[in-house]
Amino acid sequence: MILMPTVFDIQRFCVNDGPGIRTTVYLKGCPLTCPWCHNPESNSPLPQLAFIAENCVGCGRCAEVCEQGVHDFSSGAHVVDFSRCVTCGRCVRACPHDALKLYGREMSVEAIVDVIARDEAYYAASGGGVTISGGEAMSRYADTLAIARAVKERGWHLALETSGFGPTAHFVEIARFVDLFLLDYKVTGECRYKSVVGMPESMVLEKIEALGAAGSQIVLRCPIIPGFSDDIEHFKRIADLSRRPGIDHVELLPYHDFGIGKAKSIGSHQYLKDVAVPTANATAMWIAKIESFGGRDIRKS
Amino acid sequence: MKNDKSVAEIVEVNKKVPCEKPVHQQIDIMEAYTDTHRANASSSTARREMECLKVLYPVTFRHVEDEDLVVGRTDVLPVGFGCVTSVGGVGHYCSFAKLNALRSQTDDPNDLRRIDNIEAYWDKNDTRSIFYEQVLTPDTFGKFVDGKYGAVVTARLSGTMLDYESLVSLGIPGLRDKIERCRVASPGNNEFFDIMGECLDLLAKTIRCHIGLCEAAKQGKSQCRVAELDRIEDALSGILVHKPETLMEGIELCWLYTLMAGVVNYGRADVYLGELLAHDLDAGVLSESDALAIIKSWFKLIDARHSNVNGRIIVGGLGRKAPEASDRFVRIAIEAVRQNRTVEPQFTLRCYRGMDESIYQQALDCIGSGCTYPMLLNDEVVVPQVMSALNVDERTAEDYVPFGCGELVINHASVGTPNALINVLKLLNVSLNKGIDNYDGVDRSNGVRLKAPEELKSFDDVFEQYERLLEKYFSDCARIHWYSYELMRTQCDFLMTSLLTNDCLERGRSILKGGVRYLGGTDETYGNINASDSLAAIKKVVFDEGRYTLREVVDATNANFEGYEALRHDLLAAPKYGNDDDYADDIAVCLHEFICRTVRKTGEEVGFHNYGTVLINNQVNTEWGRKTGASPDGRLCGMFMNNGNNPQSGADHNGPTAMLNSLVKLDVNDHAGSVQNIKFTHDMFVSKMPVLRALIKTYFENGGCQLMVSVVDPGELEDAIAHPELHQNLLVRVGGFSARFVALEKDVQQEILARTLNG
Repeated sequence: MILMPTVFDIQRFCVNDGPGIRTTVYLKGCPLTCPWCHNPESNSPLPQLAFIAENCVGCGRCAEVCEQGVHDFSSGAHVVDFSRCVTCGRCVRACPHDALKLYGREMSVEAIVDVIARDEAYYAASGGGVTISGGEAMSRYADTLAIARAVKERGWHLALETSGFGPTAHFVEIARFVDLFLLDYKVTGECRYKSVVGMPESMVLEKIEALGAAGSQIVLRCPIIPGFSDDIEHFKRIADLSRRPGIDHVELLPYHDFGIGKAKSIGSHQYLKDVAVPTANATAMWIAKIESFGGRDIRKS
Repeated sequence: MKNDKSVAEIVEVNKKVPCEKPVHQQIDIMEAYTDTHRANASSSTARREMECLKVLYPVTFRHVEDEDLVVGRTDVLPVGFGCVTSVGGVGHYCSFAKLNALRSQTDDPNDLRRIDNIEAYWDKNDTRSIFYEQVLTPDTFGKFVDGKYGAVVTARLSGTMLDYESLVSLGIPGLRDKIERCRVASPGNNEFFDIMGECLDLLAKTIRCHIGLCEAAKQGKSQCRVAELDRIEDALSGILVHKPETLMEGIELCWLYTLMAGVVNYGRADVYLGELLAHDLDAGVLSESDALAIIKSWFKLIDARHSNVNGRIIVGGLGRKAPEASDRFVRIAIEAVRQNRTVEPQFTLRCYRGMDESIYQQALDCIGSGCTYPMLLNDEVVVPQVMSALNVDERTAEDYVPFGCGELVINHASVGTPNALINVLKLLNVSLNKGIDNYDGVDRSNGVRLKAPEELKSFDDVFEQYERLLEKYFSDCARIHWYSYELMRTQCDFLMTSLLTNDCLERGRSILKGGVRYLGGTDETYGNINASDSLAAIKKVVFDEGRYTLREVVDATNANFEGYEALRHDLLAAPKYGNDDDYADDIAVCLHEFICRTVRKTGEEVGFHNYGTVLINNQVNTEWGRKTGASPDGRLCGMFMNNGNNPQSGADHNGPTAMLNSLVKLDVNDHAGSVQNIKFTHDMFVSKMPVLRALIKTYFENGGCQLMVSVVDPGELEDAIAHPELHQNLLVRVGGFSARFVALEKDVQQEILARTLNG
C-alpha cells in the first residue's frame, strides 16, 4: 500500500525549527490535550473543514452546493455543523470570500519530497534541512518513518519535532535518520503532565534517557504558558534536564495566542481564555531564573 | 500641438530646493539663454549648444553651504540644457510646468510678459516638444508618462556615465592634449575640437568661480571653517593646472564637470577615486575620518541634487585595475552611506566570487540598518548577461554599470536610455477585447487585426494573438526610439557628455552623431507578471477546467468584476508567479522570453547596436496601474501593477526561497536589466544574519542577478501612513530607486505595504 500522509502544511524558509533554512512538514493528528495548543487544526488525523466567520458575507453559496447540510442560514446567521462534513471541498470552492477552507490533504511521500527538494540548495548553504512536525508526528509513526527515510536518502539534515509520545522503540529506530530531536517538555510532575498534556511525564523522560544514550542530539523545547508552566518547580526541572546527556540546549517558547482563531474556525473550544501573551522581558526573566537554578544554555526560540 | 502640458513631465519624488536667485534674475538668465539659442539658429548645433552653456555656467551655481567640505551645487532653471527630465530637461529644454509655476512668484507685468515670450519660443523649440509633435498618435503612442496609453515614448539621454577614469588620470591639461592629438587624426573637423576645448575653458571658469564662492563663504566664519575652505580652494587651484593628485581634487573635478554636463549617474567611484584615496591615506594627507567626512559631504551634494530615480554610484566588482585601493574606498563609502542615510546616491555594490568578505558583511550590516543600501549585483551572473544582451566581449562586459533604476550599460562607452515604455498588461486587455482598451473604451489595436474572445479556441490562440499585438507595439517603439536619437541629433550634441564618452574624441563626433562606441537603447516593460498571471488564470479556469468561457472572463474584467465576485475569486485563486509554482512560473517564463527576444530583435533590426527589455520600474507600475482596467489575474481597475519582475505585491505566500526560485526562472541573457525587491523585518535581518547571508548566497548561485533589500519593522509602514511626522527618515526601496516612505504618493505607499514582509 502506498503511504499517503495527511499533511496540513509544508512551510518553506522556516528559521526557528532547527538550524539554518528549513522546510517544515506538518503532519495532521495529535492525541494530546494541551489546552494552549498552537496548532489546533492539527489535532484530528483527518482533513477537516474550517470556517472563518469574519470573512463570511452570508451569501449562502456554500449551502447551495453542500449535500450534507453542513451550512445552515435559517437563523439568519451562518451556522456550521462540522459533524456532518465529509470534506468534499465543494463549499470551499464555492465560497467567493475565503470564509471556508480545508485543513489537511493527503500527499504521497514522493510529493512531499518534491516540495522539499525545491529549496535543496538553500539547505546546503545555510546548514539547514528538513523538520518533521505536527500534530504529533510520532503518533503517525509509519508516515513519519517513511518521510524520515526518504529525507535521509536525499542526504538532507533532518530534525523531528515531537512531544516524546509513543513507544521508545520507535524513537530508537527513527533516530537512525534523525539528526536532531526537538523534544518538548511541557509541565512538571507525572500527574500534572497526564491531566494537562494527556501523556505521562515519564514518557518524555524515557526518551531523553534513550536518545541521550543512543548519542542523539536533542534540543529541549519548553512552551512557557502562564499558569501552567511558569512556576519555580518547573524552572528547576528544566534547569536539571538541561544538563542531561544529549541535550544540546534548551529553547523557551513563550505562549502566543495564534491558535485561538484557528481553534474557533474548526469549531473547537480547546483554547485558553484570559491568558495574556508574555512580554519579551518576561522571557528574559524566565531565562535568568532557570539559569540561576543551574540551567545550561537556555535560549529563546 | 501634441505636447500635452498637463501630463507630468518627470518622476519627481523629492522636490528640489527653491532657486536662490530672485525671479527676475532667473528670467534674465532664461531670456539670455533663449536669445542665444535664437541667435544661433543658423550656427551648427554644437556651436549653438556651446554658446548656450556659456549662458548657464557658472552663473547658475549656488553659494557654498556651511557644512560643505566639497563644493558644487546648482540651481536648475525651467529653461536650460540637460540630458534627462529628472534634472532640468532633455537637450535644450523648457520645463513648462516649472516655468508656469514662476508666474505665481511675480506680479511684475514685465516679468510675466517675458515669461510668455520665453514659453512661446520654447513651444516650438523644446527638444521633447518637437519630438512629440512628430511621433505622438491619438490612441496608441502617448507622452511619457501618460498612463491611458499602452505605450509611451520620450526623447532623453538617460544613464550615460562619464569617463571619470580619463578625467582623473588626465586632468584638464591632459584632456587638452588628447583633444589636440585627436584633432590631428580627424582633419577637417576643427570646429568640433575647438568646441571640445571650449568645454574645458568653461569648466576652468566654473572652477575659478568656485574659488570665489569659497572666499565668499569665509565671511565671518571660524578659523576652523576657513581652514576647511582653504583646503577646498587649494584643490580647486590644483586641478586648474594639473591632473588630480588627491581625493579632494579628484572629487571636485569630477563633480563640477558632472553638474555642467547634466549627467545624473556617477560611475564606478572606487575605480576612479580609489588610488587617490590610497595615496592620501598612505601619505598622511588625510586620516580615515577626514576621508569619511569628505565622502559624506560629496554624497550629501549628490542627494541635494534630487535626481530621484538616478544618482547611481557603483563600487566593487570585476575588472577594476587596482582592486585593493578601490576596496579602501568602498569601505569608507559604505560607512558614509550608513551614516548619511539619504536617498541618494543610489549606492550599488557589485559582488563577485573572491571579493573581500569583510566588505560583503559590512554591506549586509548597512542594509540591516534600514538604509536600503547598498543594492547588491551579482557579477557572476551579470557579466555573462551583459556579454549576451549587449553584444560585447567579456573584458568589456566587466565594465558594466547599472544606471537609473538598473538598466545595464557599458561604462562611458554605450547609450542605453529607455525612451520607450510599454504596459504589457494593458495590451493584454486590448488583445482580449478585439483592440479596445477596457479602461476607456478606446481602440488601441494599433492596426493589428484581432479576434473576439469567442473565436479564440485554445490557450495557444490567446497567446498567439497577444504576441502579434505585442510585436507590433515593440516594433513601433523601437522605430520611434531610434527616431528620438535622430531628432536629438538635429537639436544638440550633448557636448560635455561627448567629451567624456568613448569614442567621441577619437572619431571627432558627438555622442549621438556616430561618436559613442555602442549606440544601444532599452524598452521598459510594465505589468509583465500581471500579464503572465492573467494568462495563467485564463488557462486554468477556461481551458483546463472549463469552468468559464473566455467571454465570461473578459466580460467580468470589463465590469471590474462587479457582479462577478465568484469568478474573480477563482481567478485570484489560480496559480500566481512568485510561489515557485511551475504552472504560473512556466507561463511567466514563456511570456518573458517572448518579450525579451522580440524587443531585442525589433530593436536590432532598426539599427541599435544592442536593444533590450528592462524590467526595472520606478513607481510607474503604480502610476500606470491607475489607468489600466481590471485584468484576468483578478486585479481591479486602477490597482497597482507588479514591480519589475517581482510578483504582484502580496501574491507570493510561500516565503522568500520560493519567491527567489521563481525569480531565477526568468532568463537574464536577453534583457538589459531587472530589479528584485525583497522586504525583511529588522528582527529577521539582524538576529538571523547567517541565514540571510546563506539566502542571498544561494539565490546568487542559483542565477540571481540582483537584490534590493528593504528592512522595516512589522507595523512600521502602517504607522508611517498614519503618523508620517514620526517616520520622516524611514527609507524603502520602491522600484529601481529608494525613497523616504512618507514622501511617496498614497497608492505607491500601498503597493509597498502590500509586498510580502519576510520575518
